Amino acid sequence: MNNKNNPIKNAGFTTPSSYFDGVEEHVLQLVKLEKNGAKALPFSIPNGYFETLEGHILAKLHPIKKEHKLISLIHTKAFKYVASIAAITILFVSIFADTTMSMFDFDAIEQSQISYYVEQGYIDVSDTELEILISEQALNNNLLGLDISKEELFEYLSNSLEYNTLSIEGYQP
Amino acid sequence: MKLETEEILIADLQSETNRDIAFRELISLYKERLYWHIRKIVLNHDDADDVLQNTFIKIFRNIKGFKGESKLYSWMYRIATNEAITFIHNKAKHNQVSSEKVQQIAINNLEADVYFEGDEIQLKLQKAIATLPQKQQLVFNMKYFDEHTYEQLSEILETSVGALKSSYHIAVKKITAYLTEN
Repeated sequence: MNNKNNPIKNAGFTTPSSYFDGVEEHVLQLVKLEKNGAKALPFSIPNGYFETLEGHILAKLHPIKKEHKLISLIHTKAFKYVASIAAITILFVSIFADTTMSMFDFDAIEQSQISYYVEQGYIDVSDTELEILISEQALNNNLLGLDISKEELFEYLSNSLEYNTLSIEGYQP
Repeated sequence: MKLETEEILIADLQSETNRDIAFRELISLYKERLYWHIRKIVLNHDDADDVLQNTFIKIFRNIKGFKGESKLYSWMYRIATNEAITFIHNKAKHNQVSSEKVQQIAINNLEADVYFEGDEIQLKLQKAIATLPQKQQLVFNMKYFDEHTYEQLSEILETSVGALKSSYHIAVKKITAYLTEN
Protein backbone atom coordinates (compact mmCIF):
# COMPACT_ATOMS: atom_id res chain seq x y z
CA MET A 1 0.00 0.00 0.00
CA ASN A 2 1.45 3.39 -0.92
CA ASN A 3 1.59 6.41 1.32
CA LYS A 4 -1.29 8.21 -0.47
CA ASN A 5 -3.73 5.50 0.59
CA ASN A 6 -2.10 5.02 3.92
CA PRO A 7 -1.52 8.49 5.30
CA ILE A 8 -0.80 7.26 8.82
CA LYS A 9 2.91 7.32 9.40
CA ASN A 10 4.32 4.83 11.81
CA ALA A 11 6.48 7.48 13.58
CA GLY A 12 9.01 4.83 14.43
CA PHE A 13 6.55 2.49 16.19
CA THR A 14 6.30 -1.17 15.27
CA THR A 15 3.75 -3.93 15.88
CA PRO A 16 4.18 -7.68 16.46
CA SER A 17 4.70 -9.50 13.15
CA SER A 18 1.44 -10.11 11.20
CA TYR A 19 -0.48 -8.16 13.85
CA PHE A 20 -2.91 -6.57 11.37
CA ASP A 21 -3.56 -9.90 9.60
CA GLY A 22 -5.46 -11.32 12.56
CA VAL A 23 -7.19 -8.21 13.96
CA GLU A 24 -10.53 -8.72 12.14
CA GLU A 25 -10.71 -12.36 13.18
CA HIS A 26 -9.89 -11.58 16.84
CA VAL A 27 -12.42 -8.78 17.07
CA LEU A 28 -15.12 -10.82 15.33
CA GLN A 29 -14.42 -13.77 17.62
CA LEU A 30 -14.89 -11.54 20.68
CA VAL A 31 -18.08 -10.06 19.19
CA LYS A 32 -19.34 -13.58 18.46
CA LEU A 33 -18.60 -14.61 22.04
CA GLU A 34 -20.51 -11.61 23.34
CA LYS A 35 -23.47 -12.33 21.06
CA ASN A 36 -23.53 -15.90 22.33
CA GLY A 37 -23.65 -14.65 25.87
CA ALA A 38 -20.14 -15.85 26.76
CA LYS A 39 -19.30 -12.50 28.28
CA ALA A 40 -21.85 -13.07 31.00
CA LEU A 41 -20.11 -15.02 33.73
CA PRO A 42 -21.43 -18.58 33.82
CA PHE A 43 -20.91 -18.99 37.57
CA SER A 44 -23.58 -18.83 40.23
CA ILE A 45 -23.57 -18.76 44.05
CA PRO A 46 -25.67 -20.37 46.80
CA ASN A 47 -28.84 -18.44 47.74
CA GLY A 48 -28.27 -15.70 50.30
CA TYR A 49 -24.48 -16.12 50.21
CA PHE A 50 -23.63 -12.42 50.19
CA GLU A 51 -26.23 -11.58 52.86
CA THR A 52 -24.48 -13.62 55.54
CA LEU A 53 -20.88 -13.00 54.49
CA GLU A 54 -20.12 -10.04 56.80
CA GLY A 55 -21.29 -12.06 59.81
CA HIS A 56 -19.05 -15.02 58.92
CA ILE A 57 -15.95 -12.87 58.43
CA LEU A 58 -16.49 -10.86 61.61
CA ALA A 59 -17.08 -14.08 63.56
CA LYS A 60 -13.71 -15.36 62.33
CA LEU A 61 -12.02 -12.14 63.41
CA HIS A 62 -13.64 -11.96 66.83
CA PRO A 63 -14.42 -15.51 67.98
CA ILE A 64 -16.60 -15.63 71.10
CA LYS A 65 -14.40 -16.52 74.02
CA LYS A 66 -15.94 -18.82 76.62
CA GLU A 67 -14.90 -17.97 80.14
CA HIS A 68 -13.48 -20.94 82.00
CA LYS A 69 -13.16 -20.94 85.78
CA LEU A 70 -9.64 -21.85 86.81
CA ILE A 71 -9.24 -24.18 89.76
CA SER A 72 -5.89 -23.74 91.45
CA LEU A 73 -4.03 -27.02 91.89
CA ILE A 74 -1.43 -25.48 94.15
CA HIS A 75 -2.09 -24.27 97.66
CA THR A 76 -0.85 -20.66 97.52
CA LYS A 77 0.61 -20.44 101.05
CA ALA A 78 2.52 -23.73 100.82
CA PHE A 79 3.71 -22.83 97.33
CA LYS A 80 5.25 -19.56 98.61
CA TYR A 81 7.35 -21.46 101.20
CA VAL A 82 8.54 -24.12 98.72
CA ALA A 83 9.41 -21.48 96.09
CA SER A 84 11.42 -19.41 98.62
CA ILE A 85 13.44 -22.46 99.76
CA ALA A 86 14.13 -23.49 96.15
CA ALA A 87 15.30 -19.97 95.22
CA ILE A 88 17.71 -19.79 98.20
CA THR A 89 19.13 -23.25 97.35
CA ILE A 90 19.76 -22.27 93.72
CA LEU A 91 21.47 -19.04 94.84
CA PHE A 92 23.83 -20.93 97.21
CA VAL A 93 24.68 -23.53 94.61
CA SER A 94 25.42 -20.91 91.93
CA ILE A 95 27.73 -18.89 94.27
CA PHE A 96 29.69 -21.59 96.05
CA ALA A 97 29.58 -24.72 93.94
CA ASP A 98 32.22 -25.44 91.30
CA THR A 99 34.56 -22.55 92.18
CA THR A 100 37.31 -24.41 90.40
CA MET A 101 35.62 -23.95 87.00
CA SER A 102 38.14 -22.55 84.55
CA MET A 103 37.90 -18.89 83.55
CA PHE A 104 36.83 -17.87 80.06
CA ASP A 105 39.85 -17.96 77.75
CA PHE A 106 39.61 -16.06 74.44
CA ASP A 107 42.62 -17.93 73.00
CA ALA A 108 40.80 -21.23 73.45
CA ILE A 109 38.21 -20.23 70.82
CA GLU A 110 39.07 -21.46 67.39
CA GLN A 111 39.28 -19.03 64.46
CA SER A 112 36.61 -20.98 62.56
CA GLN A 113 34.17 -20.56 65.46
CA ILE A 114 34.70 -16.78 65.44
CA SER A 115 34.23 -16.68 61.66
CA TYR A 116 31.01 -18.70 61.96
CA TYR A 117 29.73 -16.34 64.68
CA VAL A 118 30.39 -13.29 62.52
CA GLU A 119 28.96 -14.89 59.36
CA GLN A 120 25.73 -15.78 61.15
CA GLY A 121 25.27 -12.08 61.98
CA TYR A 122 25.48 -12.52 65.76
CA ILE A 123 27.93 -9.64 65.99
CA ASP A 124 26.61 -6.14 65.48
CA VAL A 125 29.35 -3.82 64.27
CA SER A 126 28.44 -0.26 63.35
CA ASP A 127 29.95 1.59 60.39
CA THR A 128 31.93 3.82 62.75
CA GLU A 129 33.41 0.81 64.53
CA LEU A 130 34.35 -0.72 61.19
CA GLU A 131 35.96 2.53 60.16
CA ILE A 132 38.15 2.46 63.26
CA LEU A 133 39.03 -1.22 62.74
CA ILE A 134 40.01 -0.84 59.11
CA SER A 135 41.95 2.32 58.53
CA GLU A 136 41.58 4.27 55.32
CA GLN A 137 45.23 3.59 54.57
CA ALA A 138 44.65 -0.14 54.69
CA LEU A 139 41.68 0.16 52.34
CA ASN A 140 43.60 2.23 49.84
CA ASN A 141 46.60 -0.06 49.72
CA ASN A 142 45.36 -3.56 50.05
CA LEU A 143 42.05 -4.66 51.57
CA LEU A 144 42.95 -7.16 54.29
CA GLY A 145 45.72 -8.60 52.15
CA LEU A 146 43.43 -9.22 49.14
CA ASP A 147 44.25 -7.64 45.85
CA ILE A 148 40.86 -7.15 44.17
CA SER A 149 40.59 -5.59 40.75
CA LYS A 150 37.61 -3.44 39.70
CA GLU A 151 36.56 -6.11 37.19
CA GLU A 152 36.56 -8.84 39.84
CA LEU A 153 34.57 -6.64 42.21
CA PHE A 154 32.00 -5.86 39.48
CA GLU A 155 31.67 -9.54 38.59
CA TYR A 156 31.18 -10.46 42.25
CA LEU A 157 28.50 -7.79 42.75
CA SER A 158 26.72 -8.77 39.51
CA ASN A 159 26.59 -12.39 40.59
CA SER A 160 25.61 -11.89 44.19
CA LEU A 161 23.16 -8.96 44.27
CA GLU A 162 19.47 -9.93 44.27
CA TYR A 163 16.56 -7.99 42.83
CA ASN A 164 13.98 -6.81 45.32
CA THR A 165 10.53 -8.22 44.75
CA LEU A 166 7.54 -5.90 44.70
CA SER A 167 5.38 -5.94 47.77
CA ILE A 168 1.97 -4.61 48.73
CA GLU A 169 2.08 -1.50 50.87
CA GLY A 170 1.80 -2.39 54.56
CA TYR A 171 0.77 -5.96 53.76
CA GLN A 172 2.19 -9.03 55.42
CA PRO A 173 0.84 -12.34 54.12
CA MET B 1 -16.12 5.77 45.81
CA LYS B 2 -15.43 9.48 46.27
CA LEU B 3 -11.95 10.35 47.52
CA GLU B 4 -13.34 12.07 50.62
CA THR B 5 -15.59 9.13 51.50
CA GLU B 6 -12.67 6.73 50.99
CA GLU B 7 -10.43 8.82 53.26
CA ILE B 8 -13.06 8.80 56.02
CA LEU B 9 -13.53 5.05 55.67
CA ILE B 10 -9.76 4.43 55.85
CA ALA B 11 -9.47 6.68 58.93
CA ASP B 12 -12.30 4.75 60.60
CA LEU B 13 -10.72 1.41 59.67
CA GLN B 14 -7.46 2.53 61.24
CA SER B 15 -9.10 3.85 64.42
CA GLU B 16 -9.82 1.72 67.47
CA THR B 17 -13.36 2.94 68.06
CA ASN B 18 -15.07 2.79 64.66
CA ARG B 19 -13.06 -0.10 63.26
CA ASP B 20 -15.68 -2.85 63.31
CA ILE B 21 -18.49 -0.72 61.88
CA ALA B 22 -16.20 0.60 59.14
CA PHE B 23 -14.99 -2.91 58.36
CA ARG B 24 -18.55 -4.19 57.99
CA GLU B 25 -19.19 -1.31 55.58
CA LEU B 26 -16.02 -2.14 53.65
CA ILE B 27 -17.09 -5.78 53.25
CA SER B 28 -20.55 -4.68 52.04
CA LEU B 29 -19.00 -2.35 49.49
CA TYR B 30 -16.46 -4.71 48.00
CA LYS B 31 -17.62 -8.28 48.71
CA GLU B 32 -19.23 -8.88 45.32
CA ARG B 33 -16.50 -7.31 43.19
CA LEU B 34 -13.74 -9.16 45.04
CA TYR B 35 -15.71 -12.40 45.07
CA TRP B 36 -16.15 -12.46 41.28
CA HIS B 37 -12.53 -11.49 40.77
CA ILE B 38 -11.42 -14.43 42.94
CA ARG B 39 -14.03 -16.81 41.50
CA LYS B 40 -12.65 -16.30 38.00
CA ILE B 41 -9.22 -17.37 39.26
CA VAL B 42 -10.14 -20.37 41.43
CA LEU B 43 -13.39 -21.27 39.55
CA ASN B 44 -15.08 -23.20 42.37
CA HIS B 45 -17.50 -21.46 44.79
CA ASP B 46 -16.21 -23.09 48.00
CA ASP B 47 -12.62 -22.17 47.15
CA ALA B 48 -13.68 -18.64 46.21
CA ASP B 49 -15.50 -18.31 49.54
CA ASP B 50 -12.37 -19.45 51.47
CA VAL B 51 -10.13 -17.06 49.57
CA LEU B 52 -12.57 -14.15 49.91
CA GLN B 53 -12.83 -14.59 53.68
CA ASN B 54 -9.03 -14.83 53.98
CA THR B 55 -8.69 -11.73 51.81
CA PHE B 56 -10.92 -9.67 54.10
CA ILE B 57 -9.16 -11.00 57.20
CA LYS B 58 -5.79 -9.98 55.69
CA ILE B 59 -7.24 -6.57 54.79
CA PHE B 60 -8.45 -6.12 58.38
CA ARG B 61 -5.09 -7.14 59.84
CA ASN B 62 -3.02 -5.01 57.44
CA ILE B 63 -5.17 -1.89 57.10
CA LYS B 64 -3.09 0.00 59.67
CA GLY B 65 -0.09 -0.30 57.34
CA PHE B 66 -2.02 1.17 54.42
CA LYS B 67 -0.64 4.67 53.82
CA GLY B 68 -2.75 5.57 50.81
CA GLU B 69 0.06 5.33 48.26
CA SER B 70 -2.39 3.57 45.96
CA LYS B 71 -6.20 3.54 45.88
CA LEU B 72 -7.85 1.40 48.55
CA TYR B 73 -9.65 -0.50 45.79
CA SER B 74 -6.37 -1.35 43.97
CA TRP B 75 -4.73 -2.36 47.25
CA MET B 76 -7.57 -4.76 48.08
CA TYR B 77 -7.59 -6.20 44.55
CA ARG B 78 -3.87 -6.90 44.87
CA ILE B 79 -4.40 -8.72 48.17
CA ALA B 80 -7.28 -10.73 46.65
CA THR B 81 -5.15 -11.64 43.62
CA ASN B 82 -2.23 -12.68 45.83
CA GLU B 83 -4.49 -14.74 48.06
CA ALA B 84 -6.14 -16.53 45.11
CA ILE B 85 -2.83 -17.38 43.45
CA THR B 86 -1.30 -18.47 46.76
CA PHE B 87 -4.36 -20.67 47.32
CA ILE B 88 -3.78 -22.44 43.98
CA HIS B 89 -0.05 -22.85 44.72
CA ASN B 90 -0.78 -24.28 48.16
CA LYS B 91 -3.36 -26.68 46.74
CA ALA B 92 -0.81 -27.80 44.13
CA LYS B 93 1.84 -28.28 46.81
CA HIS B 94 -0.57 -30.23 49.01
CA ASN B 95 -1.56 -32.56 46.15
CA GLN B 96 2.01 -32.70 44.83
CA VAL B 97 1.03 -31.52 41.36
CA SER B 98 1.68 -28.35 39.36
CA SER B 99 -0.51 -25.23 39.63
CA GLU B 100 -1.52 -25.74 35.97
CA LYS B 101 -2.75 -29.23 36.86
CA VAL B 102 -4.85 -27.80 39.72
CA GLN B 103 -6.49 -25.39 37.28
CA GLN B 104 -7.01 -28.15 34.74
CA ILE B 105 -8.78 -30.24 37.38
CA ALA B 106 -10.96 -27.24 38.33
CA ILE B 107 -11.92 -26.75 34.67
CA ASN B 108 -12.74 -30.45 34.26
CA ASN B 109 -14.97 -30.28 37.34
CA LEU B 110 -16.93 -27.30 36.01
CA GLU B 111 -19.44 -29.37 34.05
CA ALA B 112 -20.48 -31.25 37.18
CA ASP B 113 -20.47 -28.10 39.37
CA VAL B 114 -23.96 -27.12 40.55
CA TYR B 115 -22.84 -23.51 40.62
CA PHE B 116 -21.76 -23.48 36.98
CA GLU B 117 -24.57 -22.53 34.66
CA GLY B 118 -22.63 -21.98 31.47
CA ASP B 119 -23.50 -23.36 28.06
CA GLU B 120 -21.09 -25.02 25.65
CA ILE B 121 -19.51 -21.80 24.37
CA GLN B 122 -19.03 -20.43 27.90
CA LEU B 123 -17.39 -23.66 29.00
CA LYS B 124 -15.13 -23.55 25.94
CA LEU B 125 -14.13 -19.99 26.75
CA GLN B 126 -13.22 -20.99 30.33
CA LYS B 127 -11.16 -23.88 28.95
CA ALA B 128 -9.41 -21.51 26.56
CA ILE B 129 -8.63 -19.06 29.39
CA ALA B 130 -7.19 -21.92 31.47
CA THR B 131 -4.59 -22.59 28.77
CA LEU B 132 -3.08 -19.11 29.28
CA PRO B 133 -0.22 -18.35 31.66
CA GLN B 134 -1.41 -16.99 35.04
CA LYS B 135 -0.63 -13.33 34.32
CA GLN B 136 -2.38 -13.41 30.92
CA GLN B 137 -5.42 -15.07 32.54
CA LEU B 138 -5.60 -12.21 35.05
CA VAL B 139 -5.25 -9.53 32.39
CA PHE B 140 -7.83 -11.16 30.10
CA ASN B 141 -10.39 -11.74 32.87
CA MET B 142 -10.04 -8.26 34.31
CA LYS B 143 -10.18 -6.57 30.91
CA TYR B 144 -12.75 -8.72 29.15
CA PHE B 145 -15.23 -9.57 31.92
CA ASP B 146 -14.68 -6.77 34.45
CA GLU B 147 -13.96 -4.12 31.82
CA HIS B 148 -11.20 -2.49 33.87
CA THR B 149 -9.27 0.24 32.07
CA TYR B 150 -5.60 -0.39 31.32
CA GLU B 151 -4.75 2.36 33.82
CA GLN B 152 -6.67 0.56 36.59
CA LEU B 153 -5.04 -2.73 35.63
CA SER B 154 -1.65 -1.07 35.65
CA GLU B 155 -2.14 0.05 39.27
CA ILE B 156 -3.52 -3.28 40.44
CA LEU B 157 -1.02 -5.55 38.69
CA GLU B 158 1.94 -3.15 38.94
CA THR B 159 2.64 -3.52 35.23
CA SER B 160 3.04 -0.84 32.57
CA VAL B 161 0.06 -0.03 30.31
CA GLY B 162 2.11 -1.03 27.26
CA ALA B 163 2.96 -4.44 28.70
CA LEU B 164 -0.71 -4.99 29.65
CA LYS B 165 -1.93 -4.12 26.15
CA SER B 166 0.57 -6.53 24.69
CA SER B 167 -0.42 -9.21 27.21
CA TYR B 168 -4.14 -8.78 26.42
CA HIS B 169 -3.47 -8.89 22.69
CA ILE B 170 -1.51 -12.16 23.03
CA ALA B 171 -4.24 -13.61 25.28
CA VAL B 172 -6.98 -12.79 22.73
CA LYS B 173 -4.88 -14.31 19.95
CA LYS B 174 -4.37 -17.55 21.91
CA ILE B 175 -8.05 -17.76 22.88
CA THR B 176 -9.10 -17.21 19.27
CA ALA B 177 -6.73 -19.95 18.13
CA TYR B 178 -8.08 -22.34 20.81
CA LEU B 179 -11.72 -21.65 19.92
CA THR B 180 -11.03 -22.06 16.20
CA GLU B 181 -9.24 -25.37 16.72
CA ASN B 182 -11.81 -26.75 19.17
